[in-house]
Amino acid sequence: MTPTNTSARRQGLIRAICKAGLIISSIGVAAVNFGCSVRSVATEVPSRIFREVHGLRVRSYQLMPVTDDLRAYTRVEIRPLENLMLDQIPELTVKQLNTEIINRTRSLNRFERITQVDQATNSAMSTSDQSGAETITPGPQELIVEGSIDDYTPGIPALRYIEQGNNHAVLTVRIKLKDKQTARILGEMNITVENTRVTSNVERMVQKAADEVAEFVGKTKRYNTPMEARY
Amino acid sequence: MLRNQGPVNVQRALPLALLLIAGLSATCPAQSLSEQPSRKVAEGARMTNFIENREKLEHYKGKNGVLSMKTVVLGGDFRVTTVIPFKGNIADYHRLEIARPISLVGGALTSQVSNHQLERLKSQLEEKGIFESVTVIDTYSAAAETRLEKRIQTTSNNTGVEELDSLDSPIGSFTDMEARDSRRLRQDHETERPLDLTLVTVIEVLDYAKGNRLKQALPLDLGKSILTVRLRYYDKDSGKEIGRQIVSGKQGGSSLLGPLSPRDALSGVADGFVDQVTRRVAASVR
Repeated sequence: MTPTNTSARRQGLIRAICKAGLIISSIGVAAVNFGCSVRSVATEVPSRIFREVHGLRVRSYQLMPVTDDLRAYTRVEIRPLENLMLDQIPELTVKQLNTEIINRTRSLNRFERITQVDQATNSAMSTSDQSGAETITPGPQELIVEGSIDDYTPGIPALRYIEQGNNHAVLTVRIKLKDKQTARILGEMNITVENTRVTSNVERMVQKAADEVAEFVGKTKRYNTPMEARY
Repeated sequence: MLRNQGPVNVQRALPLALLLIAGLSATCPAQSLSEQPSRKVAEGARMTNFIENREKLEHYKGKNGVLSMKTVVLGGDFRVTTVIPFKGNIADYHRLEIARPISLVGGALTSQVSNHQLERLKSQLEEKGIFESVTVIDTYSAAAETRLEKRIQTTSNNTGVEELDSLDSPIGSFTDMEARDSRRLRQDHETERPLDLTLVTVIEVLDYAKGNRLKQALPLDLGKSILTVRLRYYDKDSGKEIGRQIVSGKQGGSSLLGPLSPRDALSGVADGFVDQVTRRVAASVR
């Protein structure tokens, strides 16, 4: 055997090993990629679908449970929510929230009289008499609805598309029910609406929050659970 | 022989024993005397440590809590909304007091969870070493502090006017004038001295869900751990609110480690809080 033959054979062997290594690593990379994409499809698609359906979530916490029977309250005075987020929430959104709360409460048809109070002057702005009566009878008890906007963020839609980061939109309001005559607090609730949908918008979140507030105001039953989470 | 050597040995050992007794008895007063300076030395060391730590912050870059490598791998991302930007120079605040969290989520936040949150925040801030001391207080009432401050100011102003600047006050002797001058100098000195203020942080929990790691493992976007707090920063002496922020942490199991990640919503909030305070201190140092 000549030395040139041996070196040629050795070179051929090295080349073959390199090729085999390359093929094996390519198969490995392809398998990992395939696995990852399968995993992402398997895990992300259901969660995306689920999120689109149940992405508008509500968490409500009872700060002071309603123990009184609120059926006696046939009138309600709704005050604008105190904005604790200052300029971090657009003026338009605050206005929309206050208006929606009044509209949703009105649509409940539970109160015969709903009064909206102006924040600046603290005087009654508009009165909606649902009973249709011209004169106001002095007897019935009046409920005051007041509260504050504790948290707001519109979220980051671009991050919601790639499902990364702290991207969801949030609105937290705290609502207090008071007896107008005695100023006694009848109940207090913290309501957080979270929107994780890719197609989410702030308006929908505000509407949902107003819905929840109206539901709390309109309920005549007592609450039993300390925390409610609805999807 | 042995009998004779005994007293000799005792005699030899006696000076040594006396020396030992004298030495031991001397250490007690020495210890009590040296206790005060050693404490002062320790305080001084802590002071220089925190000043050094603050100087090191010159190149501090804030954390991105919304999206970073850490949050992609481990989760526990956070968002910060600054409602009232910090007023004043945070570098003047050498001490930090953290009030126990106020629950605005009713019974959802137990005292055990609240204590755990407090401990985590305190330990992370102590680890950072940018404050001389980090203490936990039960409550903080800004209104009460403001009233107290006003009363002190009125009293001190009145006495100052009466004693020093009243035209009706009789002309004093040379020693009286000297005493007044030195008092004025001392007052000027006190105003020129670098401020040593205390920052009080009041935590209000706005949203809390413990989360469930089993649910996080399901591909249904359930079982998230969430914690949202409102942080109000007060100047302890004046009772004024000098800053307000919302910090919200979340762990939803969507990170690479998924539900196996050791981080939770509290980790995000703690990181966010410490980062925000450190940023402000670093900006003031610069």
